[in-house]
Amino acid sequence: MLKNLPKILLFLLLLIIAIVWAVPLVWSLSTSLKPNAMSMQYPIRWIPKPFTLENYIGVLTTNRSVKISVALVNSAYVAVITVVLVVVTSALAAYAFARLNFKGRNALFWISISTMFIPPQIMLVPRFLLVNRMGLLDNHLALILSAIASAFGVFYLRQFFASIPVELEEAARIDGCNRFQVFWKIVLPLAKPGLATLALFTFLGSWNDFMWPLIVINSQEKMTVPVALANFRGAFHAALEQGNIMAAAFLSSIIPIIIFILAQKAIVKNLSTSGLKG
Amino acid sequence: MPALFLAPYMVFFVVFTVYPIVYGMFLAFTNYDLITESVQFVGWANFKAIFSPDNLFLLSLWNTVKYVVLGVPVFIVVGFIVALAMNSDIKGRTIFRAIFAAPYVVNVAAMSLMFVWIFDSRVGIINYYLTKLGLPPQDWLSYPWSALGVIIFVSLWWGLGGVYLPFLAGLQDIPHEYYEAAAIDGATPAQAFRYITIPLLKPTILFVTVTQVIAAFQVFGQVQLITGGGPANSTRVVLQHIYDTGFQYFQLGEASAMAWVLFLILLGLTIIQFRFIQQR
Repeated sequence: MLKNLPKILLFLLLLIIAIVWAVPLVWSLSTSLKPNAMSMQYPIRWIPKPFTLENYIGVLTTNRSVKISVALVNSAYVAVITVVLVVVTSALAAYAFARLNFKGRNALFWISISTMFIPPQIMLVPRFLLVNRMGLLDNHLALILSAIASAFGVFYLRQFFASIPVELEEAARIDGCNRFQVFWKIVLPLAKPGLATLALFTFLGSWNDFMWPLIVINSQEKMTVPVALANFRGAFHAALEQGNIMAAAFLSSIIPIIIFILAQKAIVKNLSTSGLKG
Repeated sequence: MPALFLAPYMVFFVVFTVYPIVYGMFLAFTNYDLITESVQFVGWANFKAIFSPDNLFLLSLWNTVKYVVLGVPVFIVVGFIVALAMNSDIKGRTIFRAIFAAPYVVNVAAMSLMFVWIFDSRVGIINYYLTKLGLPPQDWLSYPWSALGVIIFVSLWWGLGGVYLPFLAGLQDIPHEYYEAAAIDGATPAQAFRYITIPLLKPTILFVTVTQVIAAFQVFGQVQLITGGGPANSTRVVLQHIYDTGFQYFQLGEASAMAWVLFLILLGLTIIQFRFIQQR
């Protein structure tokens, strides 16, 4: 595009920006792999010598009030259950909106879509009261149940299903399949990329959710990872145990990073159309 | 038959989305007492209360506006530059992509812990290099403007992907032929940029601006965990105030009123942005 602008200049600029971007994670990783005492030594060493995993082990086996190991398990199973339920309910509803004809279909769909644009803080207080009345305060179900209805999931999957050629479904119906079999055997397998992307985003959204678990979960042993980390500086001394703190921060990100690497293409493609980070 | 497909979603949709929206509207006009679970209709009292001088709501709105007005242009400019660079023929694109996408998967609490450590005034790496360069080390979180700057930088770091990726997609959608035709007609790169790139990117610019403004108004985690709203409430943002009011002081009616005021502000801003950018 900018043909006469020296590409070198642009590349250098990008390089500088990239270095600035990489420093926080690299430096934190480095800190986590050094013995605690060393993280405050001058001059600063980027490469940990001695290299140690003691901070990670310490943080996973600690007796203190905040146990990242417990939080990791909590986050994991809340996320997995949420993903399964979101994908199933969204796929079923999306198929109905894409292929089934019924009265009020469009109206219902647009109502659902419109809720995507409503800022979530409107629902904080009422959802809290709802969950309270259901007796689900401090219960993981509060996190899971409130995340199941995904207007975005329905919207996203509907596009996918609509783009699958109707002829395939019609052929199956002629062969005697009922609607559900068509859905299960023909449509779903063809929509795998969409299902995978939705699963990915839902997982990340659940794992990284901060404000709602902060409000709803109170007891240490039920905390999900972000909430546990928020309490970390209380349990671990900021100046003296920075290695442990950074280790916990990294542990919290390892699973999302793995999932991200496994599906980098899907994320990049999807961020370009939704792009939100509060 | 459609009912069977729709029912699971609809049940949760009605219970956890529709009902809260409607109930929230109602709550804003009540005095809900959590202990006795009693509801008392109080008309506009909550709205009057949150706008009164001794409530921090107006201050937190103002702080949020400062953050949005200063931060969003930074996010957009940096994101646009990165998109331009990533759009050109450069080596190592995959590595760059990974570097810029990595912050997205980090949760806000881990990120806040990282940056508190990095910006620490005594042992943080930023001050370390500042002193090495002969510059004075800063007490980053102790002064209102530097604290705001830290939050803006952290949010920029975290959310760059959400800005540069839409821009990149928009840039890639512009057909090469337009630039070729312009070059043949003797246009300079600057002219090509002004008369081809920008007009064709208008929908993307609108989309990114609107989504970034909406997201920026709802900033919470990094403020709560890095500055705590300080120093002296100078970085206290709206969502933080709503959280405190509703879930530390359990003034649920007032918190609901605040949430609705915020929603109306966002709605108004979105409409204004649509009009403004459409016309340019």
